[in-house]
Amino acid sequence: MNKLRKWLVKRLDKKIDRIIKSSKIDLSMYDSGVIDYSLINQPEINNLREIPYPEFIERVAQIIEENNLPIQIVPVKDFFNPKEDFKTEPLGYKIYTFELGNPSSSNKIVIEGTCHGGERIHSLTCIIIALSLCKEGPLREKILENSHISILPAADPLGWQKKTRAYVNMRGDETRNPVVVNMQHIRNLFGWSDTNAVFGRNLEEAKSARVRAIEKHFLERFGPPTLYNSLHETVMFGSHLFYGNAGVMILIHHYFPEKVRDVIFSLRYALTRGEKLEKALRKFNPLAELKYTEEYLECHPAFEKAKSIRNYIKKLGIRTFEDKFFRVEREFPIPGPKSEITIAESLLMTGPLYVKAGIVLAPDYYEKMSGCVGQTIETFSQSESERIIQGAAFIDGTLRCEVLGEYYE
Amino acid sequence: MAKIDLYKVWQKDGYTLVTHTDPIFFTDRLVRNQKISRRRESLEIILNVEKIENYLWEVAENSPYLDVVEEDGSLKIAPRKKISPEFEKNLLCAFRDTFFQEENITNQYLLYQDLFLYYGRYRFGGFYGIIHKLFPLVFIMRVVKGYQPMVWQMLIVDPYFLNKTKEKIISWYEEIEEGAEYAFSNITLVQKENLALKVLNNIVRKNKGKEGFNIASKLCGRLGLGFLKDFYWVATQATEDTEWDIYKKPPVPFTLWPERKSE
Repeated sequence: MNKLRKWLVKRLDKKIDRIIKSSKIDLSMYDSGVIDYSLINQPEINNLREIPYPEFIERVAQIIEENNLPIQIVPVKDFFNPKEDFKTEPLGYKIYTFELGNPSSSNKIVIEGTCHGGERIHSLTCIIIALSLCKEGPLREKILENSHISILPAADPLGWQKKTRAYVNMRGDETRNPVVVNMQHIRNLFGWSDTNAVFGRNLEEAKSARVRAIEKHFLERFGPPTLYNSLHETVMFGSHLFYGNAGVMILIHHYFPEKVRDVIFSLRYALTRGEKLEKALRKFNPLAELKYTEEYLECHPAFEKAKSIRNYIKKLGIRTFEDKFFRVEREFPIPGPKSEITIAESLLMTGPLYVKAGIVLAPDYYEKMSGCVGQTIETFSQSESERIIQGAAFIDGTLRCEVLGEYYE
Repeated sequence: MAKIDLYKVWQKDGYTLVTHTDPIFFTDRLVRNQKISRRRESLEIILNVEKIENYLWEVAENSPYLDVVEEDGSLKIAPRKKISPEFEKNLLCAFRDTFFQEENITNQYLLYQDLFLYYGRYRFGGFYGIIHKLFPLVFIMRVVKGYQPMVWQMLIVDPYFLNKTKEKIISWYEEIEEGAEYAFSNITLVQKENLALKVLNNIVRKNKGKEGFNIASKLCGRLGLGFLKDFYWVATQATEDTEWDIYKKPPVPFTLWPERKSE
């Protein structure tokens, strides 16, 4: 009897292993055709930890020169004096963008690495994306022919150097010495606010010179973007306690009219097994009222595209933001308007906190000015290489869905 | 007339505007907006300055849009003619970035707090959930006749009444939001001389790079501008001369009498 059981267990194990191997891909040696994941290595990441900002840019420029890569290094011009490059106030650092692809094409894609200076890991993600797009391959050639890509590895050089984030005054002054109480940054003291929200300030003069220079660069010099991606990571103290090993979270910045938005806010996301079953059964009942967001947004182009990107990331075997976090949130709800609301698994939308108060984030701003699609991702506390893989996979998915027109179910 | 006070405070190298944006004043602001929505009042923003400057007179005299009115020893800038849409837009943008945004956040925040209390009770595991609803059955099964009226009241909860309370909460906040929006489209600006502010600004200006902010933070309470203490206290971190020099002095000895030296 015991032997039989052992034999059965062995056989089952083999079967399970075969299934897992067939679906899962070893990403350390994998080249998807768009992005080469084998470029990500730990020693390179370790080097990034200590080096100053100009050295980081120099190294990248050196790689581009040695290999004769088709990447243009374009510095951002000053807003007030457009003949000169923008320079930061104390140290004189410049902001650089890496341009790739066909400048005459109508697909203008922007990839922003570190909006907040402290989140440095995604500037390396940006470089990996740029380098892997320069490799040979039919898909890459097609992408570079049909699109013009601008990569901004570090939007805030001083914050990058100091490993903090910038806060902006109503006068347009920036500080990287936020008032800190109990390890938490007080944001809105005397009108200091986060840089991501400064892009969308109603008054032009209240924006800082750096923000205005970047805005002008993307809207006028590069051409109004059609797709804007910004990559974020969570580095706040103690985030690992709750968000440890969480996957990619995708935030869609699509413009919905006010009426539609109110409807979406009143609906809910099918979270539990019972709710999911109910949602499936509702399709057969024509008289049922609207209850779930996924029912309402079905076949919406922006929603479907985001869903297919998420499915692609899942297909590679990479974790996406799981439902368990939302389940905890529903069990212990925090009173207060929500900054983001869930519309599907690992897909979120800007919530009533931003909408009602009229706070406009950077992707929202570009969307408002040029009608582009805005997306941000959040990667949570886990190993650095894993965060880079997640960011790169997201860009991989977006390039496939937006430029090559693929769809993943 | 609804009012908002703004204080023109001198910092290291220029003026900033400071308001009573403290969580304690949430309720005051809510009431103000509610009144505005009911009475259709216009909003008056009072700019507290050290000295009313003459250039305001000149600007107003030359401009076709503004008119200066003197009331109770203070200068008032009132609209003479309808301002150009561009200028109006710019002005509104400035206020939307500061007051309008913040006011809406606080309204929304309090709304959700109230609704949270409401929803929590009627959800599955909540106070009016299935378990608590069955609680009166205990009394019925025990057959204590005196409890019967209370039991039936607990069992049959009027759904219409519940709906009404929810709607009341929402409508109350809708009124406030509407008031905020109305107020920020009808603004008049008033300039007012404030002597206490002048004293504080002079202290900070004269003791530049020294203990100016420290002195101001200690003095502002006595001058009637106590809410500025938070502002100055934070600014003390930027002073060049630190308070920590006291530790450079030789410490006070543990024994009050000198120790006897060995002979």
